[in-house]
Amino acid sequence: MSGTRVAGGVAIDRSHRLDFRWAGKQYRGFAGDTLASALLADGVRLFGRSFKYHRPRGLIAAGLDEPNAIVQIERGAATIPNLKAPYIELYDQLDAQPVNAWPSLGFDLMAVNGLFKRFIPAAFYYKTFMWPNWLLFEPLIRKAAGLGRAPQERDPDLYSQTSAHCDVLVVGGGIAGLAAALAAGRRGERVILATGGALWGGRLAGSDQLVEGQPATDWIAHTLAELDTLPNVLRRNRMLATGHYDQGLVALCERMTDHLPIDARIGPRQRLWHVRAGQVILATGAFERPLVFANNDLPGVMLAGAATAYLHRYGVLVGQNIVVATNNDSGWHAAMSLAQGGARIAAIVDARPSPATSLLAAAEALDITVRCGTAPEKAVGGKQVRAVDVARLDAASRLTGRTERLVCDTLLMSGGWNPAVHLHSQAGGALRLDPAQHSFMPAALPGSPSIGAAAGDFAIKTSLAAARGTEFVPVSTPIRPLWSLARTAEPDPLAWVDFQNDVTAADVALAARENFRSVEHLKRYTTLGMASDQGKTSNVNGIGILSQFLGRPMEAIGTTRFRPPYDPTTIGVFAGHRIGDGLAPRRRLALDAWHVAAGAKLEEYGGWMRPVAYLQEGETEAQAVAREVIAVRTRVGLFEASPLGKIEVKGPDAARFLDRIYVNTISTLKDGRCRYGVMLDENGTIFDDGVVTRLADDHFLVGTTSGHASAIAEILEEWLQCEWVDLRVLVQDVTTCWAVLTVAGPKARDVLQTLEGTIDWSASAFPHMQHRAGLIAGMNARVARVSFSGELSYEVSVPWRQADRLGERLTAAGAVHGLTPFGIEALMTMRIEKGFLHVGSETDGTTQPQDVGFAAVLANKKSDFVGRRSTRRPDSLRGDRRQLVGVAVDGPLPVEPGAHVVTPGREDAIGSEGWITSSAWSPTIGAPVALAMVNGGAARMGETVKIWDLGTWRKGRIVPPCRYDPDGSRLNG
Amino acid sequence: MAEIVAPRTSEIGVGIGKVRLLADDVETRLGAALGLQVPAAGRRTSNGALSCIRQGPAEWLLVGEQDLVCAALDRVAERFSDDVCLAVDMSDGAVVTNLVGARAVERLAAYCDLDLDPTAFGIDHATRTRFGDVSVTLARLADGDSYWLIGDQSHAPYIDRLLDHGAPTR
Repeated sequence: MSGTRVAGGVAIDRSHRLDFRWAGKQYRGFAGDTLASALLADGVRLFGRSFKYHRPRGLIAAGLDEPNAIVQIERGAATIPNLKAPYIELYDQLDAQPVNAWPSLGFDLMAVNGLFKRFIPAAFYYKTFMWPNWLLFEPLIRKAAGLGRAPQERDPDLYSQTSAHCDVLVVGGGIAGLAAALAAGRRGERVILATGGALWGGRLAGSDQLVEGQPATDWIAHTLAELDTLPNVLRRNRMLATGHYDQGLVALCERMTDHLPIDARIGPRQRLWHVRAGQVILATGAFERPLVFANNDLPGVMLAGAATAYLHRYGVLVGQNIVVATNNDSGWHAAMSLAQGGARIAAIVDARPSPATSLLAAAEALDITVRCGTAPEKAVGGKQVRAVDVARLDAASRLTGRTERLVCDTLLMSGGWNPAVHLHSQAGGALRLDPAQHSFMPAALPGSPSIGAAAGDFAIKTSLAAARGTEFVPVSTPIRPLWSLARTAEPDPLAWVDFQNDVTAADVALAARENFRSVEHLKRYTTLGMASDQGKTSNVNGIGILSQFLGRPMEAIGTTRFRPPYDPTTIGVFAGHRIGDGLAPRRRLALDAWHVAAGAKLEEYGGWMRPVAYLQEGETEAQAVAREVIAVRTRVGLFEASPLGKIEVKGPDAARFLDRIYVNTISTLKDGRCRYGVMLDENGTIFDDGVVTRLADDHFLVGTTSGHASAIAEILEEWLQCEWVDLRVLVQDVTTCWAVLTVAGPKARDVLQTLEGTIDWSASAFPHMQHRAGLIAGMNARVARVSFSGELSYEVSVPWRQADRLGERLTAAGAVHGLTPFGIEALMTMRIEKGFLHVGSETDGTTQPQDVGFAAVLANKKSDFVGRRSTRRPDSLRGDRRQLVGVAVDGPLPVEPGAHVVTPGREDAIGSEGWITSSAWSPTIGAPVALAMVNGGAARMGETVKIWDLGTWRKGRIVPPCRYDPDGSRLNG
Repeated sequence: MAEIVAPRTSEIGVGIGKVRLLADDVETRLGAALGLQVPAAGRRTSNGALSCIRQGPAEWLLVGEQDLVCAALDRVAERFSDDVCLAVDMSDGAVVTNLVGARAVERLAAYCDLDLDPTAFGIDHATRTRFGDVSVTLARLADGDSYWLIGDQSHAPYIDRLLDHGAPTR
């Protein structure tokens, strides 16, 4: 094979050998190698099979622009698909496999696709699989498509996130980035310098090219050493900037352990940085363009700059007998370096008729054959290149005349350089076409200059000047644009533009013929640039070919939109801590341990882990709920209601303020009294409900639904701070200061009366909807006699840390009365029996108070309140709005919430007359109970309806919402 | 690990009080009631036993031994009895985590987007901010490498989880 290890290689440590596996075979490399360099050094040429036609593919690039060498590493839960071999740092016992090849890389059965290539061009599936139904074909196509295999097991790795601020963030560790960081560091600014790879120095790493009089390797080492003496500079390698957002925010993904052997990995695998910088200096370098000619995807056809990178960084010579095809000077420099490294340069083929005489002289000195005004027509070979056919170019850059075959084992190409403008463009920076280099260049972006190759400046002197803030004019040496090399205007069908997505120049032409002429349409029609390399080697060539085909200038075509992330980024690092129990804060009740000990099944409700029901031995959840309901209805139950929102509202204007907040009138409430109230948003939609208590003339306690307390407190603050600044009112959320235990049931008073304290529990002294503050068993307590169950009920609040004591006293006092803990489901069953509204179940984004029984309250309210105007719109006054009703369902089983309700005989009609909003089996009534929102429901009492319940029709009758104790004698008892 | 997560308020008896006032000459009178100089925006002051953090206009948080906090709240309520005053003992509803150590700032930076550099968030700086997905008040204490993270007590397990998750590794 062709690749060999030679002298040099700044990245590798030859004293440290590493064993690894590739495609099931054992290999050896050095510490500092990448998977790509180690395999190249071992003569491996074939790295993968292409996405669509399964063509054999080799390495093209030396960085994350690599489109071909896409591999899968490790196995089981640790497997990671679709990594780029040049970006995988070698570690001991690395296990890597090719993707998209079966049964083997060398013999891939799906390569048969290539035989039918002319029948399956770009977008063939849009045309071919439309009849009879795309969905018939989709599963098969999806199975055949795709590269690596997603892991089937849970990701075992840990990912973290962090944030940082700095004056200057320098993105890119080449000489421009290093110089910019050092300049800012010397000025005393807070600097973060990040480079995506492991190595510093960019294209010049390992090179002996002179930088300010020193070999590049020495210059890089000295600069790094000085940077490390500056405490105000943080430099990180393996930290790739993936997104550039507004206001100097940059997201970077740091690979913390990916380069280590698996058993040496400790801590997070990757870390996502959010860096906010005063200035973001983009020294992101440039990507070399491939040349587009027939068979340019043969293994052994590579980018010229990549070949020098493998030589300088890893001491790997990519071939022994090399032809270099170029349209610019950099290809010549690569040829010279490789010749010095020990390769035979069979020829340099330059598209320009007259390259610089200095280049010609240098080639002559090395006895290198030169062909000017010439370009490759076709790479020759089977699974690797054996020769290249070249031909002269005419004035229109078409191949012409006789073909010359140049024997080689490696063909290097350079079609010019594209500045890596991705981050610049993501932040909104404009691009301009450089007429000399035929590349898109970053236009000025305030606060975020691009420097060096990222600005199209490939000269060391001017790049360093720009890095140090000196004004300069980069010199741009004109190149000859080569977009599609063919003898006619029709591109060659085997000339590849996007290697990873298997898009050819002919596909681009096909899209243009079919009128997909916008670059965004071209992209979607052909999938050019949509693979995981995101078109880093293909986009500009695609635009050039489209330009050539349409006869429109490239700047008129423009680029597709650059979007983050710059390179594929793990979902894990975006999730960070937000997985499993860390997905959102989970709050625990004051008596959490007690609930668990009592057999509670906990589930999350509004962020709180609350008991669903307390399951006894051998009991189903439904049985437990029924038992708990009966206990409350006949004896007494205990329920923890601590998450109920509690907001103190105080001030001389508090009553006036709450009148504006609630549909109900609050100002008429007397001290020590409670009132149920409904809040609306500005659209008149029900937003929250709860009980308001007047603690004193100027002091109220606003009750909110569980999980909504902080949102309501913030809204109250907003009205006071932004709209009603004249009101003298203060607001404070005290929800978690107080634990709340609800004692409900006909024996509730009997239980509470046994506790020593200062509260008179008698019915006459403490009626329904009243509030008392006092001492209970030595604890400061606030008690509201309110009921969501329909029974005699007291909500007893004590300081949170005293909840255990109150719980113990209540359970002891209640034992003789059969006090039974009950959960959310029992409470919900009882409130459905009572027909009580539950915001979020009965209400949605259209529900107004008149829809749920508050029409009279609305009509009687004298003063204005939030949302009132919206409740008077014509639509709000329609009589056929959906209204809250009860539904008596035939049969023994409850219907599912969401089941649609229609008039009998209209089962086949399109549309619904409403739906079930809450449903349960009522152990009290011995039948299913349900609430529903039904069109004009209030006027339809007694009407028979049909209910579409999970695929079957059920029969029901519209009834009043309240099915239990409609006169309220029990809760008033 | 260089940093220490100190016990919570409920375990060591630290009290938290909240004071909100609509009154004239409020800072002078509040300072007299508390026995300390009332902090400017974004700052914390302390008289050794009692700390005061300005959380917003006319809004302060008191931190100290619970008895001292409650006594201070009583004095505030009395002194501002003719004004609009909400002086609430929040000791049951809030939790203070004390992060100590040279790398405490890394733990904070993992979930808090503030600029915590000493030049931007120095000694006795204090502010409301976010830690992960919850609201907290953050204060930097006198020795520079010590922070108070004050949050809702129901968020304490979540805050602990994040502090464990974001452990610095290099």
